Amino acid sequence: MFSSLDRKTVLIAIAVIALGAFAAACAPEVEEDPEDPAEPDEEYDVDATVVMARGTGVETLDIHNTTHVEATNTWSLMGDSLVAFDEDGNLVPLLAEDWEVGPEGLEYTFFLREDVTFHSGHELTAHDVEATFERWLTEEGSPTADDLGEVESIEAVDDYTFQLVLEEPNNAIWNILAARYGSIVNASNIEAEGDSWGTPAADHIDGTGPFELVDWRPDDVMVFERHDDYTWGPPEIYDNTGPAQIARLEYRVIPEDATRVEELLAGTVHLDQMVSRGDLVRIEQSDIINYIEATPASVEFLGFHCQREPFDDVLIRRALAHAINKQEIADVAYEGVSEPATSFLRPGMPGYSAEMAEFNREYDPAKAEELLDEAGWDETEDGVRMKDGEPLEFTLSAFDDEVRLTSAELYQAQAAQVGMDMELDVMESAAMFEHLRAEEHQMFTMGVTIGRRGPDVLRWYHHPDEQPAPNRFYYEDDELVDLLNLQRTTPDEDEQMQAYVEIERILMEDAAWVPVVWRDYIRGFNEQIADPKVDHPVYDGHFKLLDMRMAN
Amino acid sequence: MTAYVIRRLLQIIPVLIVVSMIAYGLIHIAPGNPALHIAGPDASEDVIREIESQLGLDRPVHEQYFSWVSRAVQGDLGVSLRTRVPVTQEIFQYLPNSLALGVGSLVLSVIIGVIMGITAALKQNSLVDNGIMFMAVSGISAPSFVRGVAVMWVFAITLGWFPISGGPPGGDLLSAEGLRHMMLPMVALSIGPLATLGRMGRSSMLEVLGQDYIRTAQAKGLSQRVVLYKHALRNALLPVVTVIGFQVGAMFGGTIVTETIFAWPGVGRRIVGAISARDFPVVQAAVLLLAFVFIVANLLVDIAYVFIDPRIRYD
Repeated sequence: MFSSLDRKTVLIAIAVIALGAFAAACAPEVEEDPEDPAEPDEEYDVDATVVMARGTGVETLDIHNTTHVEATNTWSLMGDSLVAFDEDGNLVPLLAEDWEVGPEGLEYTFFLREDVTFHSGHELTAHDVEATFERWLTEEGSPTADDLGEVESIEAVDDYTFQLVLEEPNNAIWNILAARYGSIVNASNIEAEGDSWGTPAADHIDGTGPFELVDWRPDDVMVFERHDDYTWGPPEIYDNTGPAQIARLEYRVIPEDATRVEELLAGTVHLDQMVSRGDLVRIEQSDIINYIEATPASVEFLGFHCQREPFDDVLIRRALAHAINKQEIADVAYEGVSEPATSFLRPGMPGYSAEMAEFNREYDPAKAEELLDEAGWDETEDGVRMKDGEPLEFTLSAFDDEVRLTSAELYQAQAAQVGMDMELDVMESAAMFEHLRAEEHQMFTMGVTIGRRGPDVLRWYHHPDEQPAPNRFYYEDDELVDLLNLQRTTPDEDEQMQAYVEIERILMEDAAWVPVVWRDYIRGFNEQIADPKVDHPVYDGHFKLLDMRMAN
Repeated sequence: MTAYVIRRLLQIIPVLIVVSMIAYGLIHIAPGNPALHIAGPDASEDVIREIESQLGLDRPVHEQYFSWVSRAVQGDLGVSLRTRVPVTQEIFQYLPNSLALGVGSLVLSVIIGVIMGITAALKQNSLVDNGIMFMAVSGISAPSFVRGVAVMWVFAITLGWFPISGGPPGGDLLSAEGLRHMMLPMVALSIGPLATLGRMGRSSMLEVLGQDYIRTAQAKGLSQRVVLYKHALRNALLPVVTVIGFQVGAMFGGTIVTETIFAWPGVGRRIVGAISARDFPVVQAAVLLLAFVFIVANLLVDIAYVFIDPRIRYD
């Protein structure tokens, strides 16, 4: 009856499908370049483009105005710091081939390599180092300027000698100098770019690293090309000191975890820097993806506001520490890719001592109940303990990401087993950090990557001067304060190590916090990446991809 | 008509002012501090205060708002707190990607949705009708992230016809590769409006086909084609066009989810990042932009009535 319409309908439908088919057909075919024939007998493709993926984009590359890991990771590819740490936590040369420290631990003199060039071809001199430190220390609102401590002076002594003088000793200085945001920048490049420097609007952001940034489309992709003159990668860290063994690197932003894994399986992404634990099963079933458990110096912990009820009572804190089954948290929330923590500092990082494990509070619900009895909290029929007519109830503030949310639910169940009524207050990160800073919490759960501060993070997190953040614990003890100051200033390494042990002892004895899991991250590699390895598997160091090779 | 359009255009101004006040108020009420995001969660109070002072965040909210308005009317929407790039540059860099996605999806959903609706109406209670309505109800019921994942699974992962995710290579939307990258998010985004338009088209067409004047036209011996196109379709389209107006707003809102799933670099993705970072100027500009698109789309719908139904006049 409406045959003409039907024909039209069909024709339009065909047109729509044809459009899709046309687009699909437009896919570029891989063309062989007659000028550059692939050598079939070569094992690795040095002209390869490697595509990496991450969940969030870089907001700014103004290295002195950010602490975001995406920015510092990117600078690790683009730039170099004066020194670096190897996998065992030993200090090794990078842009500085040697250094001297004055007898008081105040004067640091660095002797620079004389063969270093920026991507622009500009030769690195001590004047660039001086300008970098000048900007770092004086940039208004720089979140990392204080990390260096009280700086008396900075000076380019000659073209290849740089001197930094502190007003008081700071043992954490090496962590700061080796940090990824300690990259040396080209001062003339900053001057030329003006306000655009470090933003996507800049024409060029100059560095000395193994990769040069050539295109940056925020929330989409960053494109890097090999710095062909690069030869100064630390041999203590990399088998290859440079240049990189791939020609080009694309850093794609793919927010969805599942999408990143599918790209990895399809071979359109070669490396996913942070595979979601939820996708592990899918990866394990695949024979085209390898994954590596990277172990940065990261720890997840439970923290208490030690001056707020009910956690102003040390017995309650200790009881909860014994009620937490860390193994269950590691197995369920972390899918077994992480191990229960027995101390805040983890094995393999500076400051750690095996002695620290002795202070760990083992999972022991009976002990927890005993401590609660001692504190005067009586068992009741409905399961929640009472004291003076009040139930033992409190709130755990937690981030809303999947792993921490699962962990929080497990904490809640574990606390209930010993008669504690734990409520959860789950919030996204911006709200959570403001909530903690405003001292609205009773207890909280979070994680910290220790690399930036090294073991000095203990001081950072527990010194009264650091309240309200990052000291969110409000645990006060005079002996602890003395030890926190001592570890920072003593020139005696043995005394420093003993201070770390004592700090861990005090904090664990009074259960100011409960280290729960030494968190590992998962990096997924497509099979096209030859001999995948993780730069700096233990310490939170440089990420330069110098050893990465693409199979032919 | 011209006077009507000018009057409607002028009405946009108070609407945008109210929208900007609500958006400004809401994002300032929400917990979270942009200075804290910039400095990092462990920064000292001094650093936080210094950044707040630099950004003018230490002033009362109403002062910040009026300062923003006075600059906005001069075309200066401020600087992104996160990236330090001018907001106009930040938004307009990605606007073409979102517009291409939105307009492409709209065209796709209107063409297919209207055809589906009319076909279902003409084949009422048949297998075709039931099949189309089943698809339409499924399309409406499925959340946008499910639609996105389903489309990705079928056409990219299983069939391998299109890229799984990503923006146009080199930022070139008009290239063949750009089109390939846009196809799946475009299809995913069009499913919801397409289903709505299909259902609306069907019910509207059925109503019109039952009218006396259609029976009269058929009794006069007019060909079915003339009856359909000249008498039924125009009247049936009127409510459909109204729905299209609303779908435009919903579609641009929907780009936020679709762009995230497909890693498509559009304004929607920037809004998500800006909200997480409490980047007030970017959120404010993006909300105004979405409001503007919604208002203009509805104005165009009202104007379209005149062409579809000559009885409608705006004098």
